[in-house]
Amino acid sequence: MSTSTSTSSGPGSVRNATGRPHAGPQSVAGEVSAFLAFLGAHRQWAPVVIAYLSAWWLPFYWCFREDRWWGRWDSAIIYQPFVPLGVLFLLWADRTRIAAVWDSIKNRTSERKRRGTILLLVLGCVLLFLAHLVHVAAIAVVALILMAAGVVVRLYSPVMLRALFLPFLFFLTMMPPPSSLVSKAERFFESGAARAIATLMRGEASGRNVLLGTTQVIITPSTNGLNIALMLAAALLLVGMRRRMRMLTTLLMMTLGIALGLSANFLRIIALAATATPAPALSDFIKGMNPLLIVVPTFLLTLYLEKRLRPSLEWLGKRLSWLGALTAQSEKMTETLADTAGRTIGKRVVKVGRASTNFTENLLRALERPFKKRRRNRW
Amino acid sequence: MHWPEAIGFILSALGILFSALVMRRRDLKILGQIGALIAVAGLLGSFSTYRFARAGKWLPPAPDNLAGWSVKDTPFTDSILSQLGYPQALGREYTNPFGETVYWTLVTAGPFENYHDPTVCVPGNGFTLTAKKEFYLDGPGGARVRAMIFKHTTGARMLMYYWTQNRDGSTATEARMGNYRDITARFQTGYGAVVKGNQTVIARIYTIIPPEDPDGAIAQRNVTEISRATYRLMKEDGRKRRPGDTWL
Repeated sequence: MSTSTSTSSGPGSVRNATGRPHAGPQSVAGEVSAFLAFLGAHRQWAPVVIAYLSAWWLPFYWCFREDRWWGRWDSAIIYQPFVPLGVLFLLWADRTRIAAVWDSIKNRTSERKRRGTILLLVLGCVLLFLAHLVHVAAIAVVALILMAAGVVVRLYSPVMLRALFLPFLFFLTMMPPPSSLVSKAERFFESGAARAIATLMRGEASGRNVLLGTTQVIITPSTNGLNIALMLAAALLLVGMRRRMRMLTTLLMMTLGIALGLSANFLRIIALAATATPAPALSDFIKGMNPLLIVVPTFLLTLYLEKRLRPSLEWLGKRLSWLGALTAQSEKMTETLADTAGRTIGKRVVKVGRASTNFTENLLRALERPFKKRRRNRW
Repeated sequence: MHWPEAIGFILSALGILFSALVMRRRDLKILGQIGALIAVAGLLGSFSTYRFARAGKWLPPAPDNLAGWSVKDTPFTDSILSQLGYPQALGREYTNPFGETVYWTLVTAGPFENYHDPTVCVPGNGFTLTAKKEFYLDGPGGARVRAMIFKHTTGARMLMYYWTQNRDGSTATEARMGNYRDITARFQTGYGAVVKGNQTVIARIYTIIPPEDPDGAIAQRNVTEISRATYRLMKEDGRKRRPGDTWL
């Protein structure tokens, strides 16, 4: 992306390296080469990207190595490290519309007016420091998302942030939930799976243990299915956002995908129980298999079924029109509330925002002074 | 310095350097400014992690010459150290001529994983917290400590004193376990370690109350005696300058 001060196009995502506008969908290889050409043409963003990665590094380390939320496949929230890729995908796929929004912003306002406040970015930075003081990854991730939003507001105005609502909404799914909530959900999934297996195979369930004759099966985090359900939910939410599907239809598709994923996992537990005594090696393999082996086929099957069931889903959507209307109404209400709040707060904080912008700019000017080229006195 | 914060420092420094270079171009000045701001935030994060590690670098000695008490070293097992994130730690047993034993542990308090509050950890071993009280160990204005009584499923009772002590002698008793409910205490710890540069240790001193001591008076006297000696020794040691001490 280039800034409004650069000589090239605006957010730039729509134009290829040669400056020609994007010409519709291409093959995957074509998209990749176009993306790489785009990155090459916007090298001036490197400092911001390196700085942003440096800010991400320690929170990423906490989640990956210390808490091991992102470092093991049986973690319930293993989908989270892949969220930035989803955000990039949404941005890249929507580049034509984003560029159109940027063109309209550029045409309507002067450069000075379209620069948003730096307040959001400063708030994100302060929150990140606080997150480091209390060492809570969730606060750090929120701060980093705020910082990204702050960069958009500062460079491209709040109107652009609004245009990027869906990618930022998807970005929020990266926030690690409280570990107590994850533990509760894991226990719920484990005891639920144990009860279902016990009912189906006439065994006895106690907590997460199932006794089938002389064989004891323990439902562990690697087999409870929560990671599969959340991975499918995130992937299908991404599809729904990419296709700009209605919220209700996206929810139905996600429900279908999660139901299929949990059913597949249920079959896996049955296979695990059935092979525990005659073939322990096979049972261990089933227990330790990568969840992607279930998630990928289930995801593709859900997409196929969604295509086939689209008329039925639409029919269901009509039957549930009251729910759709309710959703639309609530969306409208939220938007109105957000607008009103934004206007009210905006008026009050505009002075603070301007003061903070001036302060930060002065501070940065002072910081950059030692790096400035000094003009040589030719005399 | 450990490798995570070292990588953080390097990345942030690169961010600042590139931003400064970009800032020299008039048309890209704003990108440089934004990059510099974000890189400074990243740098502060790395600095915080470094300071947390520094907070756990002070391990005072254990009291050795307590009249009437014999001492036995009881080092921490590797599994316990692993749970605590490998802090520096000392473990001891003090026994008096009547055969009454007081168990004594001292753990350096760097990152939050070093903090395991007894009210969260001890119940995992079959104990239930039945009473809790905070008081000054060494007279008014002295060391504020938390006394707890735990009862085991077998009926045995345990009396434990718990506190964290900074190098300047100040103490705190709040729980700082890794959950979201203790956010104020976590902020105090973070502010103390990162901004004020506190170096802290965690003291847990406990004994099993024998059946012939129904009021726990003897147990209390024993634990108080060892705790008071520990507090005074740590306060004295904290004032001494040690090789390797840096203001940063």
